[in-house]
Amino acid sequence: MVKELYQIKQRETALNITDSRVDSVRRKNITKTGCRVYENGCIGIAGVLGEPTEATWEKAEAALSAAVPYPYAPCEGAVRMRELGKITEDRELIAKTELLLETLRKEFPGYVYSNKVYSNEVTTLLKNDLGLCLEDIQRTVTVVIVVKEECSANVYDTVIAWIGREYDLEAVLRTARQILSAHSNPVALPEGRIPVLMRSDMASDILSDYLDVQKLKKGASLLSGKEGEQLFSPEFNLVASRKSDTYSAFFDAEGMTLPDDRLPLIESGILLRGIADKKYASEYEAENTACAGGDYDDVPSLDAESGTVSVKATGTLEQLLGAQDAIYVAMASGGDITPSGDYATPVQTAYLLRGGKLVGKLPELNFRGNIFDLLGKDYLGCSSDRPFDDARLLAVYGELSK
Amino acid sequence: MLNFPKDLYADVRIEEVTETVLSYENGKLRQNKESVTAGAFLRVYDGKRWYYCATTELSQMQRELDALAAMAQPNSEILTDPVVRRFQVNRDSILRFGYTDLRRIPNGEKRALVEDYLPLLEEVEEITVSKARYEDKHSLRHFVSSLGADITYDYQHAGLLLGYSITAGDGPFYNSQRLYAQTFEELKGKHEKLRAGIATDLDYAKNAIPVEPGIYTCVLAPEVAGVFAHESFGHKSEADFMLGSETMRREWAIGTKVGWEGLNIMDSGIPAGSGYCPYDDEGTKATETYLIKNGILMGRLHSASTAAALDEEPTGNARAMDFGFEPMVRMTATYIGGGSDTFEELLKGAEGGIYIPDYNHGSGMSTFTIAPTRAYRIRDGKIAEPLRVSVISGNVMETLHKIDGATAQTELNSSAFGGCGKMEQFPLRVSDGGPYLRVREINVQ
Repeated sequence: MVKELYQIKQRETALNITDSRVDSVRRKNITKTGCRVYENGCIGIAGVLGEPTEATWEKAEAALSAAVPYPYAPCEGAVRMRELGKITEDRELIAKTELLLETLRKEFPGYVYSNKVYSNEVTTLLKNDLGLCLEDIQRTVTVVIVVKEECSANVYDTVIAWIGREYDLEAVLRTARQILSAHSNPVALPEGRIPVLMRSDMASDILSDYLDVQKLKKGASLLSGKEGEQLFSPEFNLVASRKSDTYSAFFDAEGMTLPDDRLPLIESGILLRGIADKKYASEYEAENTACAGGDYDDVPSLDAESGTVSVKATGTLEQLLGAQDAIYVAMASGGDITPSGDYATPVQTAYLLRGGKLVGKLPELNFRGNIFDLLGKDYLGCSSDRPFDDARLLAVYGELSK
Repeated sequence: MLNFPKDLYADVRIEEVTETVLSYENGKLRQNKESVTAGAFLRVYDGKRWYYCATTELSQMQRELDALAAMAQPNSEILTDPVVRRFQVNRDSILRFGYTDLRRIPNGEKRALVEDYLPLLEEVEEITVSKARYEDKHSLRHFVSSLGADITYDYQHAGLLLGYSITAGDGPFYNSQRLYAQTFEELKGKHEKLRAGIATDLDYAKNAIPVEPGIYTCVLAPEVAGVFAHESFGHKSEADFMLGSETMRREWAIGTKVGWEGLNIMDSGIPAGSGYCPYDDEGTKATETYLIKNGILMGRLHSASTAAALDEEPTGNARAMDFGFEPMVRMTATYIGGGSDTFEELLKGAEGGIYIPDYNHGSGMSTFTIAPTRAYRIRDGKIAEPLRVSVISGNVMETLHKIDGATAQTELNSSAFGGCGKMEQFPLRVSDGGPYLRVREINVQ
């Protein structure tokens, strides 16, 4: 029998903002532990909030009687620790957030600011009695402020989103000033073909579902049978990544890692491989892409939404666009894709980008395009920077309508 | 027994949850999880700021409460604070599931139930990947406050999901059949219903053609009308979105005409189902809140804080997803009242339009969106060929005026899977429903 401990510790302070002021402070200190035992090709798991006791391990052993199959070898021998980010003390978090809000109220008085600013430390630990010991510590500060025009009947009108390893107040203010300066200046939707900038996870969310190895191999993906084919633009690259910019642990829930923390899935528009956990890698003779996830007390399984599938950057936004105008999509909620790959979404908030700056707010519009076109002939690239958002941006051409 | 701090308001919510998760992939067991977790959320309020703590160390609640109190500023006038004055002091215990408690069902019976349904997924050769999932959840919530409130209530549900990819037509089609129940027995014997649903999906996957994007009259099934009410109007009724905005308060003044004269929308935590919430997470008792009555704005959803800010009364809508979060204004069961039409009459008035029987997801701000799972053309007063639609959308304030028909028949839909998302808190269990509803000038893509 092999015993394995999977533990996630979260220390968080969240400031809630209501009516443009911090109105509450929330602290969390939660440890979630999964005790796993492997024996005779089966897995037994018991979970506990807090540290495990002997009784937790006994419960995990008892769970073997449910005969949940798991005939895959636990990882062994690897020892690695990665620690990213700086601890942000509560005092600093509160002081900087109050200064942020004071500045916004002064410089942009016509808005109501609300929602949250977080300081987070997430420690993920996986160790077993085969010598595996992997530990990842991620520290982040996340700002997600929803903004409502005082004179608007909307629920909210735009968002200021920023993420960093430490609280860089000037960077948050730069983002906020770009958005809010443009927001107060309505402009018309430009005529003609113009690049549209969308969060890069629009593409990675859709493609990670298509790249599920089981779906690929069983004909249940739009990309089934197309390995090795040029499907998208030569500029388009999709990777499984556990590098620091994904804000995810460097190992997956099964202890798998990637060489140099990154593995290409689609390279120069050509489908190289699907995504697989240990089960799928074994059943479909596929390469393991370190994409297993699940809750702390789950049997690990492929988690296509783990955020580790991402579009590889092709240059800064300035390099991608040159002197062209573009439309930056700040809020696009509710879109979806049909089985044949036709993607459509209402765009609730968008801004006109000119000369590298957001210069005006566009009317609500609709965006659509087929995924093979958006990432193919209509694909310009993916930004390495995050100038207006907490996400990197895809530059694509698509069909726009009012 | 907790010692509440002097000259401050404080409350504590303790939640004990027992869950079972069984999952199968292509007919084979992948997970069999039984878990019991407990945690507490503590709040302290000094009249200016709230201090919160989420903890799993229940034996240390007094220490946590004292630590929060140390951060706050004692306020001898706290009992006259407008928020505190709105907190109800209820003492009640509502335990509904004694004999049907899902915790009494042996794990083997739950496995047998799922395995009894698995063959349905093998009957259709076009199903290339399948997943089955059983989930049950029993929760016991206990709320106490420094004012003397002491409330305990339980809630439980069980659900079965059969999900599948159908490889047919011009692309793989994914959908699922779902069952919701509050007792284990209710999940049994639904084979024909599930089989019929799978057959409908197979026909759709084989025959659906792309829709021509444009503006259409749509007839929404009760499940879709429910999510339409939730997304199009429910979120706009959550009073926390109105704080700080005189414009929104003015435009949303009670008595304003906001929709079709036949339109009634209500929210209530009283009906059984996934929106059941007899007391909210501040101890306010559930009531039925008319949001719209005969097209006129009648009310909105409140916590004690938002009620105080708008000089109104709490409605029992301060809810938290679980013990890790503070309550915020959320819906419970949101539904549209019935009209006087028949389904056939609605179809006759929607020639060339689109019938939407179910949905994948929805969202709601000023523009609401619904992504249908399936859609059909309406022709000659009947449901005709299947259509592939990515998303339907419309402006909330305009669309409510464009409803022009509703059936007398209504349904309230509950779910054991998913729920409502608002900011960081997803999923919160809710339910929604209504009649079949006809809505004109919907943007279809």
